[in-house]
Amino acid sequence: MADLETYIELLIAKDEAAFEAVYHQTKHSVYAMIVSMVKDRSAAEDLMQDTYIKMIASIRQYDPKRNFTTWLLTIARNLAIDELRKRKREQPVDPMESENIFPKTEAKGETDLLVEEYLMRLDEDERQVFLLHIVDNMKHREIAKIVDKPLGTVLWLYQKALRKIKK
Amino acid sequence: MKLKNRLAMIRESIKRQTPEINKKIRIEEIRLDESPVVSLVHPVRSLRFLKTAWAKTTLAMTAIAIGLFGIVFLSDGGFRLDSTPEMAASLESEEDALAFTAITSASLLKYQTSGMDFVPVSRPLSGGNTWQIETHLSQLNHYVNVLDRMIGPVSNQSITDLTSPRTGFERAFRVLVTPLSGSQIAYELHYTEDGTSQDNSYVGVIVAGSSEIHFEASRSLQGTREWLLTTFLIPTDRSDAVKARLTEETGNTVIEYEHISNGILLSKSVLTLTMENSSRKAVLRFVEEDTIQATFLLEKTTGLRIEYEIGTQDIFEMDSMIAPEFSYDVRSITEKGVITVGVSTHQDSDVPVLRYDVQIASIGTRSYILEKSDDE
Repeated sequence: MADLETYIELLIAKDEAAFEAVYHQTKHSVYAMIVSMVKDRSAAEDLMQDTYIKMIASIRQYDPKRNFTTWLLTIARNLAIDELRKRKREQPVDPMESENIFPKTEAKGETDLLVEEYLMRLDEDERQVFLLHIVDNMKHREIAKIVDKPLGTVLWLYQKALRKIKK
Repeated sequence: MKLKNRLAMIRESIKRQTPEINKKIRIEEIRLDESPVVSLVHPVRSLRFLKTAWAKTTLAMTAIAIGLFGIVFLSDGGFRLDSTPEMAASLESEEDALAFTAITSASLLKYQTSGMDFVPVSRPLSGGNTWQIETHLSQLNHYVNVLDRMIGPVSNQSITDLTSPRTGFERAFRVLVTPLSGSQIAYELHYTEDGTSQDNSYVGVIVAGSSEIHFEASRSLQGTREWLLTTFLIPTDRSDAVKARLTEETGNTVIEYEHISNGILLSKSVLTLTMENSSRKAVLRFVEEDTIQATFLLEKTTGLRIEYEIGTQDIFEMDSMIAPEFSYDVRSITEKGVITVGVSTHQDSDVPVLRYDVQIASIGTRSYILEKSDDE
């Protein structure tokens, strides 16, 4: 698997194959980041699309000294934050406070229900750190940069999340 | 279901549900933004971590406390402890008070994590002739002496900034301590900033003799509150980590310890230090499942006063009159006590000794004279 940084010039040239490669290497982390915040799969899908569009649009601003995944996930996080702010302004009752991470209309298997139950034990910060780490084994140090928290806090949140999942 | 299976299940579920939106994106239609580079990461405010003697001392003392807890300093020959009675701790400064309480908490943590619950000290040991209090005091005496031996009066302590000679670390500081008597003690803390100057996380190692304790630390400023979160990795073959989070506010320092083994929280304690004029207090609380299990109030007056309260505990007591191996009596006990520590003179040898006066309702008042730690 090639380093994502090697695709930058190809992305600037709007190379489809490079985009596909970047997408498949990063999609799970991007989805985990977004769904940990918006707790709504259809909104997460829209935000995921926006994230990749913004990534391409901003590709010239990418600083090659930075980790590409960190940069991409920061875009995803900022878009999710904007979405949450927008909803808060528009609706007196925040749908983010919904009890379900996944939409109720969707047929859920036993496993998904169980996963949902585990994730609902975590608060937003814990869920974000936890999912980013377990889904694509992202290093806590990188997560700390994305969520703009000290490394120690991230380690702390992760341990708290593990304890809650274990109960 | 085991934790690792749950994690695998969550991982697979998230991956399975990840939508495939790549086909909806027409990359050739996206207009590339040509605007100037703008960082998407909000910069962290400039922090003063490791710039003050207080921070250095705090970190080092905490590390030592953790080191004691890990029993590495004591067993690996990093220090030869000489808890002679004239080394009785004198809590002359905030640093001393902090160090003392940190070390005491480590001592008590050690109790908790070595399989011993917080049994009331008035309870006899299994033999019936020895009391728990004597074991506790023996430990306390040991740490009081260790404290002074390691820390000494703050006026005899110097901290020097260095460029670290160790590979992989940028900076270091060396701490030299000269106790009232005995040879000078030195330890070094090597550290490096991780990443850019905006990234306020640090990694380092504390070296004392042949012992090394690795740590990761991060520091943050939130309004007027400044806090330091440190993770110490104890050099054992267990997957242990002790996290110490320090929060500093005007007149207050709070240290939260968590001992984690293989991802599982074994113990948690919260130490609050209060400095008001000449009065210094430290409250140590052991917490289990958000319930306070035991509280220790340490106060420096002319000597040291320790007020403690152990939450309700179910005590299993063997009824040896019937069938020792099968018959147990269960009692719920809540206990309060006061221990005062002062320097006295041994009536026979005329040397200074530490005197512990213990007042516990159920056993009355007892006094103990202790000279040397049994661990030496």
